[in-house]
Amino acid sequence: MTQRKKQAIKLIAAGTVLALIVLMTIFAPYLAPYDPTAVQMEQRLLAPNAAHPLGTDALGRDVLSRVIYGGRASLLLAVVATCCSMGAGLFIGVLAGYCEGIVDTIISGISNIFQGLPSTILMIALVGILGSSNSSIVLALVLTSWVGFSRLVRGEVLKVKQALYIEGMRCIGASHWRIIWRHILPNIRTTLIVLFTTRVGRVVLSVAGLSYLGLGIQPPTPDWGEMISGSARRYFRSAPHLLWAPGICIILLTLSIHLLGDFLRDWFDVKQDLVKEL
Amino acid sequence: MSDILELRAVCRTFSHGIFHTHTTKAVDRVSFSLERGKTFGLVGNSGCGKTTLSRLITRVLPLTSGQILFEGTDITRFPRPQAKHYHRAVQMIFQNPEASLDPSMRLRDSLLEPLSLHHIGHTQTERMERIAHMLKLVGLPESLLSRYPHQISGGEAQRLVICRALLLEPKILLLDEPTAMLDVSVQASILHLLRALQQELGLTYLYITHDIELLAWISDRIGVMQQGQLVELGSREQILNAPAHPYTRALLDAYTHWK
Amino acid sequence: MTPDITIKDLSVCFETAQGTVSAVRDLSTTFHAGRISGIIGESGSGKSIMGMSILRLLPNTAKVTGSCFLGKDELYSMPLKELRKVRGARIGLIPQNPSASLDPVMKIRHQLMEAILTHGRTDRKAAAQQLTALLTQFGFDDPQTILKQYAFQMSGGMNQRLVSALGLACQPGWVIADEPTKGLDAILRNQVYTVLRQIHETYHSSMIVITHDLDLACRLCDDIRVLYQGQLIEQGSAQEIMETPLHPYTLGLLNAMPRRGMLPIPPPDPARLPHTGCIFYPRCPQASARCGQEVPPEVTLETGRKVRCLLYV
Repeated sequence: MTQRKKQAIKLIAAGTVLALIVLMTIFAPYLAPYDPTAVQMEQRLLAPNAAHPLGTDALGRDVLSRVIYGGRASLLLAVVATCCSMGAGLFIGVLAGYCEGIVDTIISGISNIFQGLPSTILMIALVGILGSSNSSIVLALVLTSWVGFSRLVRGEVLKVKQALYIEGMRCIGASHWRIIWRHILPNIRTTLIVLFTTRVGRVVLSVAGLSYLGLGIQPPTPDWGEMISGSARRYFRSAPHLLWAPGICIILLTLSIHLLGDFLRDWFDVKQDLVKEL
Repeated sequence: MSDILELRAVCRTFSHGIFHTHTTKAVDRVSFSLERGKTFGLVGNSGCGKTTLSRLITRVLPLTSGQILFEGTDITRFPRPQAKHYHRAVQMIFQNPEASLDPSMRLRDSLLEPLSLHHIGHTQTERMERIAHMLKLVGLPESLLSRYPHQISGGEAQRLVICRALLLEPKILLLDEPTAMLDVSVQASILHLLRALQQELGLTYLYITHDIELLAWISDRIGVMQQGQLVELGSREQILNAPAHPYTRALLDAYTHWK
Repeated sequence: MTPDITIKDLSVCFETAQGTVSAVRDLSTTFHAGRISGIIGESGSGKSIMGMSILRLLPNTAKVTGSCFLGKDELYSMPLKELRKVRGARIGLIPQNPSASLDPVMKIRHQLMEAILTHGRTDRKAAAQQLTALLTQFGFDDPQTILKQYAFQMSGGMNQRLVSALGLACQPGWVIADEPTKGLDAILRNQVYTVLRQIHETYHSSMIVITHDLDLACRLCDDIRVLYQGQLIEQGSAQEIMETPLHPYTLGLLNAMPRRGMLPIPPPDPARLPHTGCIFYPRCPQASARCGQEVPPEVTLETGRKVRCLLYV
């Protein structure tokens, strides 16, 4: 009972925070009191006050509005990038796991190479070469994270493939496509959902990291990672309020996504762990 | 022609080791035939190649050498449409009924799957009628259909698996230890069911088990397998009353000890 | 002298998403030292849960009430530290599925050594000697080679013997064997029987054998308890139960055996559900209307047998 209560609390806390952040970014135009890109040089670096609850930054832009807008770009980018890398990883993983043999050997070899590369450096290099547009950021994120998906998917497919019901389907003459689509994919979906949530959190951090290094989302667009770096770094002694709000937002977002992923994993586990006979 | 399936010197070897240098003969020159409407019992201890043999018959594994003839035609030389016909005519029942059902599917969908695969029945209602009829035959209530495999008992699962196999109107059922995971009382009910179905539908059974006592009850002819080879073959009475091979005697002795 | 194991009012239930599932209901019995007691029942009858609850080895979703005494020591209120001294040393376990109960990456020597040394009664040298003696006793002709091998290099029967040796390494007074013949063929079953018999004779161990294998129970055990849906419905000596079963369920079980004609026990009759009486009422061929209303008490017959059925009240 306590176990279940703990889980419920986890779910409610993480879910609420995540929902609030997502809603905030979706409805940013209605919530933000100012235009997040409006420069007002006469009001630069104001401490929090009645007109600007979180103060203003070095260019006199309202920090609150920028925080409200700041999740948009990185969250969208993270979701898109995770979807793409999951798609790629799923395809490659199923191919390797289902075909086995020489296909599997080749794919595993390539995976090993990708896994050996230091992902952050690879990402920085890629964005540096391709220029920092949204599409190159997504490409960099996909290239560095598909291996994680494909490995896990391959393992799961190998496991499910052993099951008797798969052999049963082969016995009644089902095609490979049908077996993959109707029997293997549905049986690995819980793993996929959990994997997706935990990965989105990590990718949000990667995007923030890239922005912090000046390679991610580019300056006029408000972004949490960029807000912490950029000019804020220069003023963090005299105007620490610039750092607090976006920093807390990043922490809350990644933390809530991770907790949600944790919860999902536990929840699916419990469902499978039905007591029948001991 | 009374023989529906004939195995002629069937062999299957597995190679392992880094350079595939070691080979194991899992099935070694096995020949026997299934008489239409009768039960052939195959007995042997774990690891004697019984399960490999069933996989060869269902074409999940290819033969190394030998022939399997279904109604006089070699099953390895089937063109595609005929292969599909064969997959419909020969159905497999596994040892573990719960694992033979896709855990992510409702039982209704598990039953509909083979029907749609083989384009049996034109409309959903027609298919559901077939399912309802077959459920009645195996003695399951229709209320079970909306459940998932983990929500039913082992005995119910095995009946459901039999029901799914019968939906395809097969000629041969391959039963690989169908009651090994079940309790004695459930085992009894499944065996009675199988016998009743055989009489009603004229099915041919290949019953694979390690339990020679069960074969004494259900089979017409018995083959004894040891280390991939068929060491003795004969009618039930011959095998039970006058076993010729020492291994058969050892198997029977293992049971008489218990009496 | 080994003390008896006494279970009093044991109930075990599990909290699941579908609600509370009761595995063992209000069970009281005494296992006498020096005897082989069999617990028979079908899957879901709670027999394994009952056996494992003696050692308090249950998943943490289980709720246990009641008490269990080993002599004068109450096992359920015992601190975990104390309990660990009981597990293995005073009550040994021979688990289900021997191949899965051995560590696949650890050599047999280390596994057996660990079992002996855990309770710290001997030093390494003495333990090594004890090991060799133990294996010889279990019918391994060449203990030194076996000790260097891994579990997967051994056959099913050898693994069963090894697991048994593991459970008996500290020479406990009590041994609980959980489904020792599950999924084994006739020849291996004979081997297991021989091993268990041997243990009983050489160590004078008292045993609790949990099984669904009626043949084994009949041949190996001194007395038998029959469990149905977590309730003890019949208890008596092995011979009595096999020859003159009292409870309709026990009779049904015996008649379902291949050599007794394989008559199935009828499935629950929907017309008899729900009811407030005997747990076997929905399936019972000998039931009267009274059985559906009254819960039968445990009746002790003149011969000392116990049965829970209104036919004998």
